[in-house]
Amino acid sequence: MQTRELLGLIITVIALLIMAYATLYVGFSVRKIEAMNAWLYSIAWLLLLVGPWLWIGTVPGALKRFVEARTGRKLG
Amino acid sequence: MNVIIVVLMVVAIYIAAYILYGRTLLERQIVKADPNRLTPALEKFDGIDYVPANKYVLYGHHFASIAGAGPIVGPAIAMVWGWTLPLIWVIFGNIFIGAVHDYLATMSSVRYGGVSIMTISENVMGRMARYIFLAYVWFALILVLAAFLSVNASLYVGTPTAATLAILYMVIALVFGVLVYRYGLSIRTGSLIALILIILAFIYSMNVPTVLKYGDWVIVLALYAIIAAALPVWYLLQPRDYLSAYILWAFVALALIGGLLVFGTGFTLSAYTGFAAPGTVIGALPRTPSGEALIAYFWPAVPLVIACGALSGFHSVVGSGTTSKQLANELDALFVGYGAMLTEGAVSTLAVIVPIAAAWNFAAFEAATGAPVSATLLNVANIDVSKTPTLGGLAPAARFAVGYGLLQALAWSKLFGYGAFESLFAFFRMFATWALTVFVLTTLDTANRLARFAWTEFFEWLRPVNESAYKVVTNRWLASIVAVLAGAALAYPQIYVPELKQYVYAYTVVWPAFAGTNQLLAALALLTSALWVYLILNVRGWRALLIMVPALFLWITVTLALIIWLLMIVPDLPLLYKVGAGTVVAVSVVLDILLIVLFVRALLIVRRPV
Repeated sequence: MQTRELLGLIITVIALLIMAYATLYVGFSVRKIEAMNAWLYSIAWLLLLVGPWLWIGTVPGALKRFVEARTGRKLG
Repeated sequence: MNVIIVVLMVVAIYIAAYILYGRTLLERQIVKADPNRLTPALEKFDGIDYVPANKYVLYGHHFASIAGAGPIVGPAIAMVWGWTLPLIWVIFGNIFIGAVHDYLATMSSVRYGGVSIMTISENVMGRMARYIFLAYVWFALILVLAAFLSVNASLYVGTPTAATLAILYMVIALVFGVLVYRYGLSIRTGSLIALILIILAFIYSMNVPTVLKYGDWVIVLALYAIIAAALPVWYLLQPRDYLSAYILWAFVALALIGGLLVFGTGFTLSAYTGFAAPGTVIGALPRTPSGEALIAYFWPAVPLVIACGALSGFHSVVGSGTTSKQLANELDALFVGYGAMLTEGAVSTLAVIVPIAAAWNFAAFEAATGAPVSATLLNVANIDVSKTPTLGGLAPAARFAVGYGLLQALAWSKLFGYGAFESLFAFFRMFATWALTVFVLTTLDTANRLARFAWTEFFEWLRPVNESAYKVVTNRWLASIVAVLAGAALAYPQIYVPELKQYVYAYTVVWPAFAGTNQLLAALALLTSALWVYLILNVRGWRALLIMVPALFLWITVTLALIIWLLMIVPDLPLLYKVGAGTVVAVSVVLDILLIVLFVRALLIVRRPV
């Protein structure tokens, strides 16, 4: 696993844990996500946008194959 | 007139327009779309911005990006002229100007390798036109970013449950994209899983608000806009917009079914209240500092009041920006460009104008339909019916949400009984607000991506001079950050306006000018497209005139409206607004005239015998 992918995996796991805490624990017990919890929730959301992209974010194979089939050109 | 007659008439007109004007004339006879020609998404595939997309995905993207709050807020404001004039303008503007403008901007961009309509202008109007146009659009996009950061933040502060849902929705879209693209899950199964999760998230969010202050939301949303605009389109934008298309269709289908279910219901708003209406104003200030209501004439003010529902310059930047770079087949462009714009018109007519006109007067609505529109029910929506007897007393977004909620509640109580009216009203009002926030959030990150494209194209001159400097300046993260920082700097701080005796967000002193500059952009983009059709596609006769005449009509209308705005509205504005919005409109009028000179010159050059 490359450094970028490892970093992405770590960010994803942390973001998911925070998201689960805010959604499941705070959301169901307090019924309002506010103050520090709201900040954590928002930051987890932003981290979730970045984490999986770093972890598994190379162009999907199916997409590459589609372009290659239409253009007749081999992509790198 | 009955609601059902208007609904059926609108649907019939749109279907006829799509087939006769869109497919037969634009696609087959003018543009001659070719399914075998490679599109920029295939030829310039880079895995980031140039990525082919399924036509339904792209339709969702184009619609969600162009929709924003425009198709809702504009017609809601325009109801002060009665409901017929706004309805006629939306249908006419949509079919002959707005949808043509979106389609031609997309297709001309496709034929020029995916560059923007601003860069295309160089080919028909010269190099100067290109750089004027690009700078103008970049600054306009900064204003869009500022406004949408602010609108989004205000929406989340006002309806914090919508914030919870927007965050969860984005996460669901991301999971959907990874499952389908990365792990090969079928789109059908993935969609089903996503839709179930969205319904659960909707129920959850109705009970769990996310509460942050306005300024905090601006920071969070600014960070979101930077990240979302730099990520590859297949990763976030495409899956999210694919799912957004379902919300859109649900939204329009409900409006359609609702219109059919309330068979026999009439309108409680007059069909025509006057050509000059008080309170309808070009820009953001409803009254002068002395408290007088401003008067606006339907023509030429209407394109500045009703933007996206009929036509909007921002659409040409989307069509020749993100949409053209994802088009997999030239034949998809009609459905995506022309079709999405007609759908936006359908939102304005069926989901905004019809419900508001039907539910305008609460007492008359209750008397005519028998629906229990009690003071208690309206209190839930923060309406004191003794002070606000009609929808006219509400802000445009609330006017739409309450009107949509009431008509839907009435429609579905025909099936579930009036006992469910209150719950149905609460549900549909929330649904309307949520649909609005989803589209607003999409517009935010698309606007930043477009600002990045405009920035990159503007610095194209640097490439042959210094390649490495060009790469640094046009780095996608840097370009995203620059635009968002400028937008946030206008959305975050508040400044004191002595004449109004209140603090306002900084961008609002410039924002009144946006309605005019945006529609000026529409006129210029349509003129550019008309020139492309005439000069490059070599189309002559009535077919060329069918595009050229509406383009010139729009240019005359917008130019006149801007001049009236400068002469009649600006003198009454507070000093800060005069300096901010007044300067922007004055500069716009100068550029407007400069660009029309370039347009006429281009026409004269081609007509001169060789």
